[in-house]
Amino acid sequence: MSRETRRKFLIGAGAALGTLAYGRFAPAIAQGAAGRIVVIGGGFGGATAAKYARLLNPALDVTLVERDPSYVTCPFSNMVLGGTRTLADITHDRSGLARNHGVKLVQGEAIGIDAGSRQVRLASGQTLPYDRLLVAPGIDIRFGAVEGYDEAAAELMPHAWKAGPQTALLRRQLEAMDDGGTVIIAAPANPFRCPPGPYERASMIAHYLKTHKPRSKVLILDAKENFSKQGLFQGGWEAVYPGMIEWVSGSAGGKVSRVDARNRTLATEFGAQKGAVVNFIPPQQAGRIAIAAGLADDKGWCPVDPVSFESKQVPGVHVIGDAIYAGAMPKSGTAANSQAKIAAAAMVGLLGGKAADAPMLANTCYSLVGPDYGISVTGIYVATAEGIKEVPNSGGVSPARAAAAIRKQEAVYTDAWYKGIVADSLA
Amino acid sequence: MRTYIKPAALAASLVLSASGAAADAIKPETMARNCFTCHGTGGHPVNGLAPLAGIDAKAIETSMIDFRNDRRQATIMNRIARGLSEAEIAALAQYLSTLK
Repeated sequence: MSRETRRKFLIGAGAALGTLAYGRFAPAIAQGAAGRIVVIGGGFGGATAAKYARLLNPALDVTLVERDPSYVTCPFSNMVLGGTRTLADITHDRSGLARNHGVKLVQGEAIGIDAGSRQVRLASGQTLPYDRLLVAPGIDIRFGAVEGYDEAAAELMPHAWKAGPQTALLRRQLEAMDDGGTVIIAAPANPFRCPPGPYERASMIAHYLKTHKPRSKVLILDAKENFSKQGLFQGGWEAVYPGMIEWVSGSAGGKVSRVDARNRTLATEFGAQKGAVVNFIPPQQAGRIAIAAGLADDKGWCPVDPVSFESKQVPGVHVIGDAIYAGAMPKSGTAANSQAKIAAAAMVGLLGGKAADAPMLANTCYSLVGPDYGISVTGIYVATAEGIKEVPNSGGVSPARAAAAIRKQEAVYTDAWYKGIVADSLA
Repeated sequence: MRTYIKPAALAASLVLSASGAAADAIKPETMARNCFTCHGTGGHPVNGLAPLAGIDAKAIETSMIDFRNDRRQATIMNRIARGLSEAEIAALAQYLSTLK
């Protein structure tokens, strides 16, 4: 980031400080002690945490560090592949956090955390001091975990599991494919970002193929024996795309042991599978800064306290979102948004010498089977001595049998959810 | 300093939190922030969903109890409402009614 751009960010943030209207939150705000919070990562988790920390205590100095100038959301990137949304539709700027909430925005890459002197080190050489740090780094791809799948391979056989150029690449490949081709989606073993994502992706690609290349097929090679919302997806596929989508479980030959990106071929125990287009979704781990800072364990994910989301490995540092072990909560945008509010309140309390409040967390994941066919899973969670647990007899998935009007209504709510979470996180 | 909810207290907190009888009662503002993801920060939605800020507490409580007992059919709200006790719903509704 140029010095001039950074100055513009900082001036923007400073100018906003004088004009903020916190009136509607005033009754709920307990003025806490002042202090410095730094947030690393500006996705749904980090952005929400920065915003809510300022809402909860406007006296706090909150700085959000983010590498990318704009935020391309993973949610709705499958709709870009399906052709019902554009990349521009899912690209957002973070200026509202500065303008409306006085969050200081710093564009840069955090490369190290010194928990002793409580400083974040940026690639630019700049250091940011903090009293409490929140890390929301999302995921990184484990290149090399499956033989043949490295960064060069991802340019031929996109993962598109981080939205942006990879999404655009996969979309171009789908557009260039001849009618009658097979699109292979390889889905990873648990845990991974967005458990229903590969199956919504199959749906949205099938939607595109059905309307543009109707002799084509989608083959899902899965490392798993079952998947999120399985009955609902498979029922939906039968109804909307009969005969178009085939799912192969791990034990039936779905587990990929090696990739040959140049030949768009995947090796499985049952032989090689060649696709006209191959979307390989590889194994993942917590984002790089979490690994570099010692926040992750040897499996690559971050253990946290289920009440405050403070790291169990590095004191004074909170971790949320896709990077953590969150018990019963999935790695989803809504989960990160919910965890962010709990972690923000915990940080605000701890800076004022108060223990974190008992949390209540929520998740809602909508998926589109078709543009007018939505399904959902939802959950309410609390903290126990064993970690984050779902409240018994609550939550769950859409009904297995439902009128078309109900599926249509859930598709409408899918859109409402997206508008809502973007505003609650960024505006 | 950690405020874990012990398993035995968990069930109690779900029943008693609104009365303050449980040590680790979940505060209504903690619950409410989960509503804001879809229903807008501070209960002011931007997406056409029901506003929650300043709505009559009895109206919200009745809706949530009806969702909880399937007397009123929605999509996800029935499943969500079952995650809260009746006492928690009452406290949440009271809190939302105070938001400007």
